[in-house]
Parts: sequence; structure tokens; C-alpha cells
Amino acid sequence: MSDIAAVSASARAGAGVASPASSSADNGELTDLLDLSKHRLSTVKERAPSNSERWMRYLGFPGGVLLFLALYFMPPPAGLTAAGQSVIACFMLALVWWITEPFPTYVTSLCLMLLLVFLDGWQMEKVLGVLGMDVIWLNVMAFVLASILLKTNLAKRLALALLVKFGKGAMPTLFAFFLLQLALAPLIPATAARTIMTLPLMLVVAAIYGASAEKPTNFGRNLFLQNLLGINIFSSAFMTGSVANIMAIAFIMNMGGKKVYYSDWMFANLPVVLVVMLIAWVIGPKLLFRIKPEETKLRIAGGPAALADFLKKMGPMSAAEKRGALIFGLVVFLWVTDRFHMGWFGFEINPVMAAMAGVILTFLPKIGILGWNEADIPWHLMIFSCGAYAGGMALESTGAARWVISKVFDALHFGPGVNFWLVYVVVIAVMAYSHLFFTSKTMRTIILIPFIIAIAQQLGFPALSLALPAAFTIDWVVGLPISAKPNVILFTTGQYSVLDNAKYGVLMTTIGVIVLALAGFTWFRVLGITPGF
Amino acid sequence: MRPTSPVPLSLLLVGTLAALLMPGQPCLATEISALSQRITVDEAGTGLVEVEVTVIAPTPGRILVPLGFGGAQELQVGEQPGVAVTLEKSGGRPCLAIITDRAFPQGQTVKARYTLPGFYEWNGKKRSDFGNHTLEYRFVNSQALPIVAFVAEVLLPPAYLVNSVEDSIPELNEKTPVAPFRVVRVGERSGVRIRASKLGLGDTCMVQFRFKRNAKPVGLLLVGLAAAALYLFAFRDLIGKQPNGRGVAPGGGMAQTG
Repeated sequence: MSDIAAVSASARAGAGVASPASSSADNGELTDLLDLSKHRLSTVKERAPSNSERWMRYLGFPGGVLLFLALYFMPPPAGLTAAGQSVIACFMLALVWWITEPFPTYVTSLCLMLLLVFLDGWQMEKVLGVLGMDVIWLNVMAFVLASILLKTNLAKRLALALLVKFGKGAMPTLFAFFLLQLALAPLIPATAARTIMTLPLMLVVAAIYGASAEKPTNFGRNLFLQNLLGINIFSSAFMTGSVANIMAIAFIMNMGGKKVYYSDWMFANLPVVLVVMLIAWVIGPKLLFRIKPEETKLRIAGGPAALADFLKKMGPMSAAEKRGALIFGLVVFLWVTDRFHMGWFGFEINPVMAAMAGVILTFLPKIGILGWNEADIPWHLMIFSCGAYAGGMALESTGAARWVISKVFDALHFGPGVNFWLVYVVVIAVMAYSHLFFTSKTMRTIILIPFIIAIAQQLGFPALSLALPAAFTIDWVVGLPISAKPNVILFTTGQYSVLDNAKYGVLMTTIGVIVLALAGFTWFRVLGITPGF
Repeated sequence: MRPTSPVPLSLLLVGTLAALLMPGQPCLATEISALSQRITVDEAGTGLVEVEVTVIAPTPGRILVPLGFGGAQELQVGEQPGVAVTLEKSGGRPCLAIITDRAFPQGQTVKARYTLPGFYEWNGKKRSDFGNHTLEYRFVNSQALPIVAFVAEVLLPPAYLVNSVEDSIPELNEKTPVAPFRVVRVGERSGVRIRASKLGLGDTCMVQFRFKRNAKPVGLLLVGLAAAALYLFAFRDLIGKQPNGRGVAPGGGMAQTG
């Protein structure tokens, strides 16, 4: 029997190694909880909607249709193409349906793609071409890699170790993930890569706390949404956190004439990000998605001691685990060392290709670990993502997103003599919330940062004072499941709805804007970014 | 035979250089600081072109401004003291010749208008491609003088709308912070404005866009309203009493995606 078949058999038994719990009646409950084969992401989950959700579904469909008709049939606004108007109408319809869910989200995505083509918003070739985008490929590769960790017990082992060390309750567990994401952010700039690495741990921890797609709990909501927030906004703490950050710096240097160093960026924004994350860590479980007392405890008899016992009984790593760790380690190594690739190989291996290399190894006979059927790829999510990206890209390519932003600034009528702090707060808010209408951080940066520099120059403010704080919000893409790659990946788990994401994301964006505004009055003044009074 | 002395040769070279730099060629400081063209297209496809050109002429002389189109007719020029404007061809390329009888070191603006029959060939009513027509406007600086700032505007007949801008030079890409083109509305007309700067000899400014009649399908409005009403009726059980406490998703089954 081949290696793959052997692993497959053990995986079906619930573990890649002989399950230590199977011989112990004490932790049979834990074994059951950790049987992640029950929680396949590729299976569309079912759950009972609450009363308010049923009302939203009922009113969401006609509400979306009416909004669509109003936007589509209104007189064409100046400066907007007919295609741009169609795309805005279609996207808003989809946005309402994604949030209220009269249909499953992937059906809404298909409707959006169809409407974009039928209403001449975006050409069919481009709409269909989204399936070939790197983000979709990265998602596919990500789920195969995550399957390695889940099938070989590595995820269980790591998650248990994390919980034994920090997980004395819900809050410390959430804090442990806070630290984990903080530690990974400067090492691995690619947010999707960090998501892939930590998703299996989240799944195991969620299972131990009794949160699943079938029975979502507030602990699960907090766990996944806090990680979503952390993965995204920790990127904004470092200048190299994303390509868009670097582009913003280039604009500030070329158009604003100011050079910004790595340390300038980090000293300014890392404290802001830490404050926002700390607030989120408290507000999420205590206010927004209140964790019930029964959710704060481990769903196993014996509590943390049972976890430690289980971990001990897992024994040393199996051969499959070691191979899994090796393959995953290789991919992570390529992600972490991306800046050295050019020197080593003469070319740069981008995160998708690094993941693809790992996936090839995963499926190879003898060396590999998984068979195709064991790779848990949620194709319904890919369809959802395609629709979402098609809508977002159509908004950008028809100039609709640019038009919306320019209209917002036009409506504000900033003129000479306007108070700097008013402009500062408005600019930060527009930049932060604009992620709801963009799917690309790069495009958002290209459109907004030069705009903001021009506003600063027109009003006689230093370009840096507005553009740099605005650039700090580039990675705050937390409002919707379509706002960024990590959001799409985490949404697959079914642990929260689009509405949950929107509520959490908009609240945290608002908190971010407030903290950045306060930092502008204080910390940024000390650093000389914003002017004195 | 007497040997050739080097002196006459050098004199010849100097003379040649001097001849090249003599009046008759544009003066070095002469430039077209701004050129704008507005082309208003009517239902027959004829374009009415309004040109506004600002030239800097340190010495009196003749300045050639490229037109970008052949077949210009009915030239009308605004009264400008010290300036005469004619349509000419230079090297086979149509251009506007501005002849100044005095120097304009600070610049002088000249306005002219002419018609271009057949500027756009409609080729009948289109049904394919969602009824879209494609129009490409292309301007090439065919003259030696650089154009510092160039702007062109193509305005469609009132019943038409710009549907999408497909291509442009300068192009809109990830390195372009400011879009080189804009969709504009002038009165009842929709159109596209494109800008370029520092157009030297042979440089091009181009915009290609699709446009169509401003008509939305009323059927869609009716279908949309009917679908909304039907949904409210067909799925009223969503807000009714739930016997088993579980909501029924449209189309049967529970609806919650991962």
C-alpha cells in the first residue's frame, strides 16, 4: 500500500498518526471535537438563521433590486461612463445580497457576473478571466496546503501547544493569536500566506471551543474576525507589509518631495496598530459579539489539563507529520526569503508559485502526503471570490471607483483657509472606508494617494501630513469578505456571515479612524508628521 | 591644379550651419505652449472643430500647427491683430499656418474653427456589441515645434453616451496617478477629454472609446419590479412562524454558504 493510502486511512480515522485518544475514554470527547474531517470546508454548511436574518433575507432581495433599478435608471451623472453606471448598480445589488443573503453568496456572485456582461458593464472575456487570477490560484493552493496541516495532525499539535501555553480561557486564547499574528507580520509580508499558515490552527482551536460552521458561536466569530483584522492591519505597521505601502511611499517621495524611511513608518504606525488591536481584542468579545460564559471554557472534560494530556499522548511526530512540516516549511521559507530570491536564483518566486511548488510536492507519489480527494478545496468559495473580484475590478477598470472618490472629495468643498484637522480626519476616513469599494489595495493607493497629495498641496498643507497617515490605512481592508485575500479565505470557514464581517469590519475601521485621528493630534505631532497647533 | 585650401572648407561649413539656423526655420524659442481642440460630432458624422492655440513667438514669422485631420473646410478665424491664419499643407500634412507680423514673447492665443465632413462614419445602426460604436481620435504632432500642453475633447451627438474608454495614449496604467482622459459633459453632449504634454515631432495623443444611444431597456425595470414583488409573495414564509425554528432558504434547503 502506498504511503498516500496509508496516510489517507489514518486521516479517515481522524488523525495522520494513531490517535492517542482512541484508547482513552477520558478524552474521547476531545478526539471527537478534533475530528476535522467532519468540518470539510468544501462542503456548503447549513445553519438556522435567526429572526433578524430571516427578515434581512426577506427584505434584502427587493431592497437590492430597488437600489439597482434606481442607480441603473437614474440620469447618467457627469464624468461617469455608461458602463461605470451599470457596474455601480450591479455591484450595489450584489453588496446588498451578499450582506442580507437572500441567496447563497456564490449564487449572488454568479448573478453579478451575469449582470455585468448583460448590461454591458464589463466584457465577458474579462469577467470569466477572473477565475485565472493569481488570487484564485493562491486560494486553491492555500487550501491544499492547509489540508496538509489538518490531515497530518500538525495543526492539532501546534494548536494544542498554543492552547496549553496560553489558552486558559477564551480571552487568553484570542490574545495568543494576537501575538502570533504580530510575530508573523514582519516575517511574511504576504497576508494570504499568513492566513494559510494560521487557518488550520484557528480551525482546531475553534473546534476545541465548540465553534463550527454548523453551530457558529461568538467565540468562533471573534477568533476568525480578530485574526482577519490582525493579518490585515499588522501589515500596515511595516512599510514592507504590502506592495501598496511601498507605492504610497514612492508617491509621497515623488509628488510630495519627502522621503520616508522604514523606521519612520514603523515608529509612527506600529503603536497605532497595537492600540487598535488591543481595543479590538476587548471590544469584540465583550461588546460586539459577546462571548457567553459557556463559550469561554474549553468544551472538554478536564479543561486545559486534558489538552496537555492529549498533547503528551500524541507522542513524537509521525513520518507523515515530518514530511508535511518539511513541505510546509519549504513554502514558508520561500515566502519569508522573497527579498533574497533575486540574488539566489536570478528571479523572484512570488507567493503563488511558492505555494504551487509545495502543492506539487504534496501530491507527488512516495514524497507526497495527500491524494486529490483529501485536498479540501471549497469551490463554492472560488465562485464567490470570482464574482466579488469581477465586480471590484469592473468598478476600477470602468473608472467608477475613481469617480465615486472624486465625487466624495468634490462634495466636501475644501477651500483655502479650511482647518487642517477637519481635512485630516476626512481624508483618513475616506481612505479607510474606501476599501469597501475596492478589491485591490494597489488600485486604491494609485487612485487615492496622489489625490490626497494634490489636496494637501492645493490647501497649502505639507503633503506628508495627510498622505502618510492616509497610507497607514491602506491595509485596513476588513469590511467585507471580498475586501482582501485573507478575508476571502477565512470566510470559507463558515464561522461568520457577511453581515458579521461587515459589522466587525466597519466598527474596527471606525475605531482605527478615531485612533489615527488621536494619533494625528498627539503622536504624529511629536514625530513631526502633522503640524503643530 | 591648385591644392584646396582648408579655409574655404571651414567657411563652407560655417555658412551651411548659418543657413540652417536662418529665419524661415522656426526660431529656437518659438513654441506652441498650448493647443486645444474640441470636436463636436453631429448626427451625420460631421465634426465641428474649435481650435485654440497659444504660441510664443519671440520674432515675427510663420508657425505651423498640426491639424491632425485632412479635409478641413470652412475655416473661420477670430480677429487677432498682427496675426493671420490659413490652412496649409506642410510635407503633405495639413496644418494651420499662423503668420505673425510682430513678436509675441509672452504668447498669443489664436482661435479658429472649421468643419470636417465625414469625421465619423456611422455605418448604419448597430445591434451587435450592445449597440456600441467605436470612435478613435488620434492626433500626431507632424511639425517640428513641440506642443507643451495638448488637450482634445470629442463631443458626441446629444442622444449618445460614452460607454467605456478602451485605450489611450498616454495610457492609463498602474503607474499613472492621474488619468489622462476624462468623461465630460458639455450641455447636452457627452464626450471624452484627453490630455498630453510635451508632444514632440511624431508624438501621438490618442483616445479610443465606445459609445451608444442613451436608452435603457424599460423591460428591465418592469422585470425587476415584478421579481421583487413576486419574491415578497413567494417567500413570505421566511418571516412567518417557523414551526421547527429553522428558516427556509429560497430555492429549498438551508442557505448558508461557507
